[in-house]
Amino acid sequence: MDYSLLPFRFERIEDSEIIVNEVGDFLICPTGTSKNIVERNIKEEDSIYKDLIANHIISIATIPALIDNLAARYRTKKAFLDSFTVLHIFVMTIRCNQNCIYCQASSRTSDQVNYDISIETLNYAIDLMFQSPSPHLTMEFQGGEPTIAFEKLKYAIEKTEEINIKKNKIITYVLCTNSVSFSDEILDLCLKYKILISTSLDGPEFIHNQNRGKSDSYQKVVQGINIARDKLGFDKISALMTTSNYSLDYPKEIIDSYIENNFSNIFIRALNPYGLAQNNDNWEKYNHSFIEFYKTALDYIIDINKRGIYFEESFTTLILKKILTPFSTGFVDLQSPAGLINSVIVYNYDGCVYASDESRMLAEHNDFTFRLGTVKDKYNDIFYGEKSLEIANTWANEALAGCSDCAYQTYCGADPVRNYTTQNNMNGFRPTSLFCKKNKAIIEHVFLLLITRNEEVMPVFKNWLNKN
Amino acid sequence: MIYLIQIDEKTIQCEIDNDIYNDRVITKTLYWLSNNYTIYQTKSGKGNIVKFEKHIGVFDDNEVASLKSKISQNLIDFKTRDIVNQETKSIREILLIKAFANNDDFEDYNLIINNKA
Repeated sequence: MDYSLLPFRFERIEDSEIIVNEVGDFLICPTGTSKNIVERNIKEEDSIYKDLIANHIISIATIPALIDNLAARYRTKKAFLDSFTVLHIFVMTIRCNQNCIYCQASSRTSDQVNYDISIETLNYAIDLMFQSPSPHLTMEFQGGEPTIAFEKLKYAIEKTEEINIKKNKIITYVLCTNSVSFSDEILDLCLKYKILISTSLDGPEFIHNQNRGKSDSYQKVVQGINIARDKLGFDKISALMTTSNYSLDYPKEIIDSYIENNFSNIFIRALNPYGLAQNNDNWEKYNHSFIEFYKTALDYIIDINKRGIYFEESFTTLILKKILTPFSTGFVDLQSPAGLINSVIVYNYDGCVYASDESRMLAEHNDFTFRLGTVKDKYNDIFYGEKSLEIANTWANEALAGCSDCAYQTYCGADPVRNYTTQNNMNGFRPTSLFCKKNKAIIEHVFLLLITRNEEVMPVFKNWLNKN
Repeated sequence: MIYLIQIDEKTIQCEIDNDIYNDRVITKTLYWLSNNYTIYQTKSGKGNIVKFEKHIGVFDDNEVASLKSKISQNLIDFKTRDIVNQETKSIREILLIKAFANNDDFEDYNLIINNKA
């Protein structure tokens, strides 16, 4: 049969083969289909022929008639690059009032004031932020616990508002807080500037308190969440969970606690190998257990939705958006080119600028590999400097060994910081990469659900996609 | 068909014909096996002599069978991928240029000429 090939990748998945084209369209086929395609064994009368044409896997013409359409769709998949750096993280302090067993930020106790950002650093950092070409900016305040440095937080927002009278950017403020000590003045500030609150809730009381190293943390967090909801509005507060080793045995209990606390979604998030979490004694075992935890949790969540309760697993929604829609996501941890620098930048409390949140976590252990400069440096020297160019060599999975042929490339991302942290070089080594194993397993699981339980899961998944 | 010869309890050897599988295909196949084995590759005529030395422990029959199956499957799959990559190199470049070039900066006439040819 005379047809031309279009770029596609494939992977064996159980008894089938998944074929994915350059823009993420996929076909589930019998094993051996790709080989048959390249050997020109597919005939026009074969039932799969039209599917292969329709999904831009083969083409009758050398240059397909819809090449412009394909190009537009490719551009849409990479739309997160259009505005360059949108998310600007300000590490206000690394002081904290909690004692989390997996702390990834190497926080200090509340009385160590030397770990707060200075007004001078804030001024320089805000100036850099406004040099970003993006018309939308997200200014995210992190720690430690950023509300401990309340006066600096207030100053940063007021300064930004003042400058923005002339700059006219659309700015979203996000406060990442443990919510255990909201004062009226914090909530008044949040109300005045429509600040979104991102908090941490690891599950029911016995898990949350165990993870936080405090006996009253859960009670305070839940109280804080409810106070913030009353004052700011229900939709202004979102929560994130981290799956500690202890959490792994309790997927259903964790989901139930989110529902009990009136959340309509959960983001099942694995531990990252930074800060105290780095001390985890067996990452291979943890990774394997986390994947099983995720599958059990997702099954449970699907059952909840089938009973008529809307409850979403947000990581799955991100993957589904990549698989089932033409759009990109703003999720910086799963992008190619990677989220660091392209989508996110970090201004640390000490005046240094880092490529990502994880990069500054490494710096707390005296590893400054991903330090791009200081807030006093010029914008171009930071964002387009030698260090950024060095990182750029490894930030696209299209050009990484082991990723370049992977069928899931379009749905996945590159993470030079993770590669460096866990495998000692930014390129990484896919056969032993736990980042690769985890993402591949989760993406494969989502595909298997779409293949084997389509009628059951699609109404639920579509519901999640429609809400996002 | 790939034939494996057991050299000793820790080492397996096989020969891969370069007329069937090019170096790119062989390298990508071996890449995914290098987490469990130290791999030594030498050229011999039209073939590649590849030795797999276990990092830990010794080979048993199950592992030999599993390794043989993985090598065979990976060679076929990476050869298929290689053909796709080679045949679609130009169209991929065109696609990316069209996706990211400003409309005014990119003329289509070369494509039309090539397509007719």
